[in-house]
Amino acid sequence: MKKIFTFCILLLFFSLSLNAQGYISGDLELRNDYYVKDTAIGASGTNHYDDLKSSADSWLTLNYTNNDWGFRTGIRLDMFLNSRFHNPNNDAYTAFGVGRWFIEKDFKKMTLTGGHFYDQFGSGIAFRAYENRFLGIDNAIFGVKAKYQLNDNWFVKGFVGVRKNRLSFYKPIIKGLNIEGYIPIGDKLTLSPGIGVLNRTMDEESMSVVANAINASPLETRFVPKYNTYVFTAYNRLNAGNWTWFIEGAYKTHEAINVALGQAYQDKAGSVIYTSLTYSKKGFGITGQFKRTDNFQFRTSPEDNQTLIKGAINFIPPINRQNSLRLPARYQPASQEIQETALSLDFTYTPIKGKTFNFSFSEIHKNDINLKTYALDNLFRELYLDFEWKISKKLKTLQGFQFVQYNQDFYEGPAALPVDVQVYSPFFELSYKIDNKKSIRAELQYQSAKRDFGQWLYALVEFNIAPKFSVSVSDMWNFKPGPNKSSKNEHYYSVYTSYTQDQHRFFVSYVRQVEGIVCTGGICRLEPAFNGVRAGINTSF
Amino acid sequence: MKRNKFLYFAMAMVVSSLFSCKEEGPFINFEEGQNTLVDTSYLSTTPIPSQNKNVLFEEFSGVRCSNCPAGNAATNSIYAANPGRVVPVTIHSDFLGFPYENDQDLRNDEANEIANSLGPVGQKPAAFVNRKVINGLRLLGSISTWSAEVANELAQSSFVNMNLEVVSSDLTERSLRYRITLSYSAAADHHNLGFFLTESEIETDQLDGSVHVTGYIHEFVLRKAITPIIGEDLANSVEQNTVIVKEFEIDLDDFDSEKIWDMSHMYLVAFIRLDNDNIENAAMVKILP
Repeated sequence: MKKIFTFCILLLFFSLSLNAQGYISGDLELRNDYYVKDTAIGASGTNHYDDLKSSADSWLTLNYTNNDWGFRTGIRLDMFLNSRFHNPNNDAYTAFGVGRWFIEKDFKKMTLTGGHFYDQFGSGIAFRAYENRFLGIDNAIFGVKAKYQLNDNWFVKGFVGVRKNRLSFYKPIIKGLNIEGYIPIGDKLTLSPGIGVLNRTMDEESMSVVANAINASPLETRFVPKYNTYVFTAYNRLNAGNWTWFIEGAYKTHEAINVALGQAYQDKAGSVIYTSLTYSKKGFGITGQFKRTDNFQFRTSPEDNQTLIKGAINFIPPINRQNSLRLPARYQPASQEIQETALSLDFTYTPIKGKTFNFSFSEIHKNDINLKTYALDNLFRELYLDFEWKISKKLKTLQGFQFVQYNQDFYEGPAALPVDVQVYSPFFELSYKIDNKKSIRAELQYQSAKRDFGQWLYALVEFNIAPKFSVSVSDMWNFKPGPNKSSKNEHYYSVYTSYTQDQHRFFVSYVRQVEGIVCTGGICRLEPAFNGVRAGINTSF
Repeated sequence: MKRNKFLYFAMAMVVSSLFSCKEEGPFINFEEGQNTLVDTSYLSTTPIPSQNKNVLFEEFSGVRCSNCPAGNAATNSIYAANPGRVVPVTIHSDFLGFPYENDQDLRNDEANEIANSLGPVGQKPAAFVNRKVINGLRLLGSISTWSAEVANELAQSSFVNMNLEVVSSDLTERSLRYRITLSYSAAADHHNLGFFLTESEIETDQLDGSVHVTGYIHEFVLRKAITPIIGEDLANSVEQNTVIVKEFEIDLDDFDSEKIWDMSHMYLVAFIRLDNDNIENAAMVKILP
């Protein structure tokens, strides 16, 4: 790894000395957490709270681009010092090194990439290599990729490599081929079709683990697992006037999958169908989505299916609304790999300028839908309504209501949890511009659930002096915990301030955070309770 | 046109690399295993004393391995020097194991599975001592170290004492009924219980140095893993002073339909395997007393 690092640095300076047309860009993200034990909320019992008391995570990226040469290269230094991003409930993780390096060169219509790269086919159902560092996700592929522009509207790309695993690699080999195009038909109709195929080949060591587990399972459940698994995908986006229709179907050949933790492997093929239809015109928009997933578990190895994000090669997009407000975002369903039938409807209406209504409905079931018990056996249901009102140039408000029905046992098991958590969350937000630079924002939210954490109140006040300074104070008060919670009247307060100088942003905060499932784009992980100080720097150049 | 030809060629190459021939897959055992006749447990009223562990000594050998007779001799020597404490299993995996003409094949799927999943085994003779990783290596390739590593392991205490008995065996029916009694001197986390069948006094040709020897006698050759090579789940956790008694029955014809194995020279091996692959304890008994 040191040789690679030296090579990239030399390459960078060599490039600089030869041609001044290129430019360097990059960014730094640094976060320090300081832990203060707080047994009342469960922020204890790990070595972060008992002994270590602090952790630091940092990503420093340096890229060089020379458009005259059609050449790009980059390197990223990752540092995890007593980190708890990857496995927050376990011991600290310490490692540092080159988290990403790549070189890329254009040759007329061909682009070649070597090193770590991020990419996806279609919506990512068959293949998506991406990074979400604060969820502990870095699914880069390390290998070579070639993209060939067949003509102005069509390209083909292929790659072969292995998936990154923190600062090393998973051993199974991944190959992929994708053809995508753009077909204009008349003035108002366009098609953007694509097809892709993926192949994952297991290594002997991973296969031995799987084979041993199958040999140890009951005789009637045993089968010969496959070294090679193939995924085929076909997709198309149609734009016709105000209409947009996207559809993707993917099929995975049979392989060993973990249908449920602790159960024997099963030999199953998988499929996903995902579609969205949107109509949009000035002041009005409506989007309907549907997804059906059936045994579409696609990881570097079946043995990696034990956790939500380990070894993932693909990404199944979520259907439900992605909420950002603190309390309405508490109950989010993770996209399911084994089975899920989901639909959603999003509606936006602006009857007059400054007044906008948003309505959203989503519902998620298992695949064996029984019409007689349809309303009762859903996994997730959300009804959301808000009203944005720009009262004047200085004052605007957001008010709304959310209802969620959430099968906590299904999404957060295997511990026995409530199967029917019904949550009601009204919310209100006010933003007021004091002058051109100063503004103040306030949020007030309430949440009521008969189970889980029970009733919450959340309030936040934020003061900004653009573009440099921001300070906020908030409290999330669990004033009436649910019957299964031993905690009483806990306050989860936070104080946050940031200062921006040029492109550098410094922040420091005190946070008392409740445990919970944190989801971003349908990818979820358990975020344990936290109590302490968080400080860091974000900068780009 | 040239460009299109190149493109078609490139695509054909990529697609053909995606789809290759039908694969054989890893070894999966679809045979009926042992029938469980008794499965019970109780808490002992008196404390169970801790005993030192026995050693499952798995030696990798092959009929075309020129140095393997020396390995076999070392195994026999270790076995003789530690009566009742060392459980030898000679594993003939594919590497240097292809049989000579007219000889029976000492290799089997389980042997290869052990070599592949716990190895790789790129040299013979070599051995596992309770499948432990010692100084970074599980596979001990130097014969001179075997005896000392076995002695180290024999000096360790085990949380479980094993008593393996043959309840009855029928030479005519080629059936066997056996009982394992596990007595826990300390609490234990998840572990597995496994059984092997081995056979001694098997006569085949063998390479010995540069000499092709006929009528070479092989001892303790792995014939069959009755359970998976890592054993079967026994318990997620066990309390101190627990006693588990299990009784099983097998029919050798289920595994050896051609009746090649000689019951009078066969042994039953039992072992306790931990989640880190280490063998905690082992026992061996002759099928026909």
